Amino acid sequence: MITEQEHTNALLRADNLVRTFQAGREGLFGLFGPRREVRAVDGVSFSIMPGEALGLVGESGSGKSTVGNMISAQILPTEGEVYFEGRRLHDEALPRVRRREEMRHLRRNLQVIFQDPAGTLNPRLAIGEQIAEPLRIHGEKDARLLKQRVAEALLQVGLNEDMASRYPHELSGGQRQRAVVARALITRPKLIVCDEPTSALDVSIQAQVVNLLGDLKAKTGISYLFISHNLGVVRTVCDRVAVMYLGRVVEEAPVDELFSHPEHPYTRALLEANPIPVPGLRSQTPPLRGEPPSPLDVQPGCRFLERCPRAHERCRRLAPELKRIRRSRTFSEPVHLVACHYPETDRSVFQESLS
Amino acid sequence: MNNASESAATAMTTPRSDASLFSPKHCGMNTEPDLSEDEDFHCKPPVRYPLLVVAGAVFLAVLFLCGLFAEQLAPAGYAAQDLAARLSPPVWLGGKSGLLGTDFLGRDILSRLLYAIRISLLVAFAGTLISCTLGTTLGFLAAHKKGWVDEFIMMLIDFQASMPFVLIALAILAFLGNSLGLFIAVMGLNGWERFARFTRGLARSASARGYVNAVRVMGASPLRIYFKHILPNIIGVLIVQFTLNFPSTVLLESSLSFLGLGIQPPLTSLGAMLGEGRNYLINAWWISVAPGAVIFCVTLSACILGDWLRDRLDPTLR
Repeated sequence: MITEQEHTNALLRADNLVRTFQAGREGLFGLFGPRREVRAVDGVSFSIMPGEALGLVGESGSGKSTVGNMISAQILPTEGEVYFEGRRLHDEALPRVRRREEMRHLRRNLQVIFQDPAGTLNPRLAIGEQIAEPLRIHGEKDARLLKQRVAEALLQVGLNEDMASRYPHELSGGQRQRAVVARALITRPKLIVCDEPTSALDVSIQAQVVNLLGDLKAKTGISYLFISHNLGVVRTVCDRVAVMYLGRVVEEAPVDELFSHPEHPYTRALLEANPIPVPGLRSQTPPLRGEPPSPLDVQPGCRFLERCPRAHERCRRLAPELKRIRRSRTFSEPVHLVACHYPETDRSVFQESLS
Repeated sequence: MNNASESAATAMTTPRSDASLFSPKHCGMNTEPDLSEDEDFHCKPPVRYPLLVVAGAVFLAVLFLCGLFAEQLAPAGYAAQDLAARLSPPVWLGGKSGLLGTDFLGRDILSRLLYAIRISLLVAFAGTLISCTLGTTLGFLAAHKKGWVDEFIMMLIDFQASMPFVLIALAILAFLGNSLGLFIAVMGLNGWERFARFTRGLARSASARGYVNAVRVMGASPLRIYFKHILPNIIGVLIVQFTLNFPSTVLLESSLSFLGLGIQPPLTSLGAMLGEGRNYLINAWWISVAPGAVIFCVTLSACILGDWLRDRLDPTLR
């Protein structure tokens, strides 16, 4: 559900993204029978406005990283389109040269921060060399300018200028992730896809990196697609959050709205699963049972059916669509999208269908 | 001399075209002790040159210079015969002429040795360089293209590995005649399959690493990924392979020259001299001992140097 205004102004727009992966064959030894397909991402749409940070949360296997990979053009979507600054990626209608140009434009304006900072830095190249690399790739050769830009980027992430001559193994975990952020910043991109940027770091360093990302957004007006399973981190950095479950977005709302009024039972369960840092204090509701069903054979109804505490006959027949929910008649109410037949606060519908 | 050979070796094996921007600072030992931990951490310990490495490097450098200035250093020409003084032992063993004695045609062995060093080093070095370049490029190609290109290159590798290379070399040289250029080209085919196999495997495992994916997402071209990002990570293995391939090429050149299909007389090489001396081993051992000793020392020096270079080029071990 994207408004007309967002259509034109959005920095990035994903339109009904689908990505399937080939799995092994069925039958004896996996040799016979039809090839099976996993729909890792099944119709995901969202948009990111300039200067906005969208969080994408969900458990492992929900397809959030696959979405990130499609946005950053590491893999092609099976169906659906990605628009960056209103221009479509992988547009087959364009001639090859133009498509390559578009890709260069994207590579310059969209950077990716990966999960493991130690793994994404080349152990044999000096940090400064690696931070300069994106600029070099985009044709910058002037050594003085490169050096200056590297120093700038290092300063921006709170690292000392002479870190440039060090090698990754000489840096601490937090410093490495800062260096990775500096490398992402050097082309002055408009969007950074952060794929679990804090998962591999220990808690004190997580806070550093999260604060750094938040500060950068405030200072430079950069946008993020923030993929994480850590709700606390998402809450600190993001403006809006989309919750994914088994390849679909089940709920999307501004961050405060989502945390204060979760509508989808899955979101609610996620929030309640977040540990409360008070000894002895436990969440009252029982935790979610079971595991997400296999993406290999998805049933027609709601995907959350088997684990949902409020599942109903209608959920078995009909998959709910992502649509806007209203609690009042005011127009100032934040846009809150949810894919559930019986959302939390929409008691009227719930009661009605019970009777 | 030491420095010259080292920098030559480094330049040859590490194409650091633009990596000099951020070279690490080397802090001397005699600077005032800095108490801040951060600065201390930054200081690289001074480079150590083990005695054996220095000896090997000096030896190779001396040989290189000997080869380069063979004309000036040699007391006689490599083909100058003095039949009156044939099979004379070295002067320090009571011989009539020649610091290292003379051979069956009365040619001065020292002079011939100097020219042989020139030819052998040239052939072995150029051959190994060709083989390394060829193998590395094909290995990268196989790792990058996958599919039938990979299959085809792997087939070539298996073919090369399963055929005795001396046979292939003999066939080529017998059919196409013999010239120094062709001979070096044939030497360049020696051992390329080991470079290719190493490179392919290492490049494939490196491709799966995060840093390669990261530069790929930045839009780096495959050439840039392979030569700037992956090559420095696998260069250690290639250097060691280079130092193993170099002596093996020296030996191959020797066997081919010995069989009469390599360096043609009166020009000579270490292997050719060794071969010539074989018939006189009982009563004129000095003919083959001198080139044999040089071959042995070249092989040893190259291996020691290579082992040390591999450790030096890995910043995580520094």
